[in-house]
Amino acid sequence: MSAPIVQLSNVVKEYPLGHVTVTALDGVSLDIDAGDFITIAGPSGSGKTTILNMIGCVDVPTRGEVVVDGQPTRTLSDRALTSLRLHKLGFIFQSFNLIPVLSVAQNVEFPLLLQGHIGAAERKKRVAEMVEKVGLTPQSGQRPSELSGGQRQRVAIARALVTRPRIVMADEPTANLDSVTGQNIIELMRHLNETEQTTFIFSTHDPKVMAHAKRIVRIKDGKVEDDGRGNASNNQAAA
Amino acid sequence: MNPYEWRLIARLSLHNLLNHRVKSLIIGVIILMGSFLVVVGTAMLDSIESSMSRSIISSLAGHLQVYSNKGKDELAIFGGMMMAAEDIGKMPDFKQVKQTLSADPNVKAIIPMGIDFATIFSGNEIDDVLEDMRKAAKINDQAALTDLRRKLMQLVSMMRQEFTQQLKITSNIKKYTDGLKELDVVSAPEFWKDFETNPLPVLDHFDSKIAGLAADGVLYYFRYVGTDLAAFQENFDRLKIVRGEMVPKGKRGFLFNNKILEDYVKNKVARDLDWIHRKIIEDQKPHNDSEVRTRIRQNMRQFRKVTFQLTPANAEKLEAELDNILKETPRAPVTDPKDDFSKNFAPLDPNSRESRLNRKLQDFLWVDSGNIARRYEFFYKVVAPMIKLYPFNAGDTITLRGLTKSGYMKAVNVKVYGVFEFEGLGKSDLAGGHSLMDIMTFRDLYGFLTDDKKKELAEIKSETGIKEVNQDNAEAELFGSAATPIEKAAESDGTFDEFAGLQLTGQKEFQDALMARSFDQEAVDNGVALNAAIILKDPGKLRETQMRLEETAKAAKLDLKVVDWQKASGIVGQFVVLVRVVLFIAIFIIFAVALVIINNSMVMATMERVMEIGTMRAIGAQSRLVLTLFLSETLLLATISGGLGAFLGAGFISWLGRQGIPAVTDILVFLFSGPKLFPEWGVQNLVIAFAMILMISLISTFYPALIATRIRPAVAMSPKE
Repeated sequence: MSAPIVQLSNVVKEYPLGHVTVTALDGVSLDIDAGDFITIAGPSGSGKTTILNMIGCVDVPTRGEVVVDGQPTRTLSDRALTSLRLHKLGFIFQSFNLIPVLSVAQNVEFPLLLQGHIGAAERKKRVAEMVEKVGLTPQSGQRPSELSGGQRQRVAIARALVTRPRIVMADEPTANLDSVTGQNIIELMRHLNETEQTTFIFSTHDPKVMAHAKRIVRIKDGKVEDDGRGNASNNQAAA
Repeated sequence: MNPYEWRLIARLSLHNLLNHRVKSLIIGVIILMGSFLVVVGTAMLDSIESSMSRSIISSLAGHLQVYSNKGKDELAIFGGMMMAAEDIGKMPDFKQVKQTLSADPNVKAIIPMGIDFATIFSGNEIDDVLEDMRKAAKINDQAALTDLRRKLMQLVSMMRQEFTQQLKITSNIKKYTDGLKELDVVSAPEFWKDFETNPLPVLDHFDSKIAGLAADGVLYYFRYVGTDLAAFQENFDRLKIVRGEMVPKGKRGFLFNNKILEDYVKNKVARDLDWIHRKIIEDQKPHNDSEVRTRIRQNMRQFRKVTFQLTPANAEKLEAELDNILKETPRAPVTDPKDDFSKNFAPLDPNSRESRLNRKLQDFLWVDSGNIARRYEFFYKVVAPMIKLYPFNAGDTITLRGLTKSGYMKAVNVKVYGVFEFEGLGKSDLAGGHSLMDIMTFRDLYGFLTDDKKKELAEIKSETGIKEVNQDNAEAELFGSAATPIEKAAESDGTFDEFAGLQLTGQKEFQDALMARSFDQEAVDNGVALNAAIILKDPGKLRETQMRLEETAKAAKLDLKVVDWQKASGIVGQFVVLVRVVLFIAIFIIFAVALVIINNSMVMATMERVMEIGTMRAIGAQSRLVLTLFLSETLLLATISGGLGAFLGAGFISWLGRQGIPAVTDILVFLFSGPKLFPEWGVQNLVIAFAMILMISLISTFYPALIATRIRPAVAMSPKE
């Protein structure tokens, strides 16, 4: 069996809040395999986003270790973390987070330009492919403000996948969408997971969305209640 | 950063500028205004500096000035802070200076100068008439004598009238009673019985008894430049003779500055009428403007400055002419009691011709906006030819009095050849502040004499039989005793003729002989100068030439200072520096305000873009990209709006350059080097504006950009758990 693409070992994340220290994650250990379609589920405030932040390298743990695609992240510089995000990760946000002044195609092209080594023709081809895959070819010249919520999230998905990342993080990707659109979006993600072999890690508290996941990790009070393999935080390490 | 990132930054910057229109507009307008202001301000200052340099260089200073290193003060050609001449030392041997410095390849000419103050006394009307009568008596011109006698008696008649009036109001009754007695004596026919055969005793009597009763004469105090007039004319081509002629080469002579004559010396009635005319016609002031009103009232009161000068025949003629002009140019009815000047009228005696003339002249001088043009024309056409507009005219010999270097008062006679002005600077007080005379007269007046000069003077003295009384033997000569010589008051270094001022006999003949003498270039060069103007062949190499000349002078042990026109001109030259400082302080304040506004707008814009920046960071943008993005957005805006502002500023200056900015005050005439300034802009103005704008933009954006780099990528993630 191959090594997990993401490994969290006894991850603790604490935030100072005034004079008090809030513990968002309290000793979380979790392995995620490549090609998985995994959801992090749990009530609000349970620590779903914090786990995604750790895996997505937008934050580092206070204690414990996060290994992404074989790279431990805790001691990495901001520059190295950014580079890791650019080359290994893709992001889909709850609020879509498109660059409002850029067109659909330009938003999708954005991370390719950041990567800096992909020529114009290749970029154009990849963008066109991705836009087509999410079904937005007719809208590729439009600005995000001209699109519906579902279309915006499709753009976000295209942007997340255009760099061919190993992992795509999606934080409540359907939260701002109606149920039908949300359903379509999750089906699209699942389709891409299967066709592109990209690992999808997303958070949700919507049971219908959860139903699409190959694996459900349940979080409660900063701890893994169920890692989808029948393990909890306190016995994950042993497992 | 890789080229694609630059492309991304360019794309985002452009899109953000267009999409955040309000922010772009606010910042853009501020930058545009700042850039406009810098271009206009610096271009205006450069133009003023350039025109002022033309004024200073082409009127008196030349490109460089050289003077002794030993003086106590710095050279200030247009005057320093004091109303006295500066002690700038002297160059005892101008010839050596000229020879040494002329060797420089960039020196075109060196013109010796001596700048100082002198006084000229203008006698009262009685003095003037008596002098004319003596001249007429000398050549036995009976016709002129008869006419002048009438004029003299007219003056006596006027004085009698005035004394009679004064007796009614004065407490000093004796003064006016005695005066009237003296006037009675000269009015009696028997006083004049021997006049035709022997006029001089009559004139002497007038000199001793009557001239003193008339109003005092006037002492004029003015600045002059003694120079090599021929070289001066050749090198300062703005010099224009407006009346009379240039002093012939090799002759002693004096040239009055037209501005001095017009503003300080000209007949007071004419001068005030000029002023009123200028204010109403040129400056479009109404006649009831408080300043104009005061001047009109004042001019009405000084009518005697005209009537005292009229011969009886002219008085009669003028009365008739005044009747016509008063009918032809009636005043508008007075509506405001403040404009009623009738209380300024002298009492009218309908039976006295003088009294009637006085009233009509006063009535004539009571001008208003409607009749000033016509009456002004009448004054110069009819009245001016009847009076002496200027006490000094071309052809007159004047006596200049000045202090020698060691403090003795010295008097020198010199012929007035003409009146000049510096072309285009006619109205400028500064360019109009100096009269010109030959350097030989200057050396006499200032007390500098070379050995050759002394020898020449000795020859003239022996020819004219002048007897010199100097300080060592003054007491013996004056009082006939062999008293101990008075201790010398001043050290003589051999170049001074300290005591030439004490000549007593044969003075006039000596002075006349001196004036008749010619002198050559050798005599001009071979003597003292206080300073010298250096004209350069290539003014563009001013700095290097200045340094080279300093070295040359040092090597020749001449102990000289070489200064540029700006420094040589005194406080005037510093004017632009002062204005530049004020402008830059103003620009600094404006930019400080702009900086705060731009900074605040950018901070607010950054706060609005937290999610966007966080997203960029999350998907892989390095923090330096964010920093560059923010800075380049402002740079782009600064380039566009700053460029537009600079373009508009340059356009505005070009427009002004075509229209011309009128010099509304006399000082502006000098600064503008003429009646109008035609400003120009140069590339340097745009570069300065652009550099300042970019600097301000970058400084004001740096803090918001830094905040943006600190936005964590995690903020892009859902705020909700």
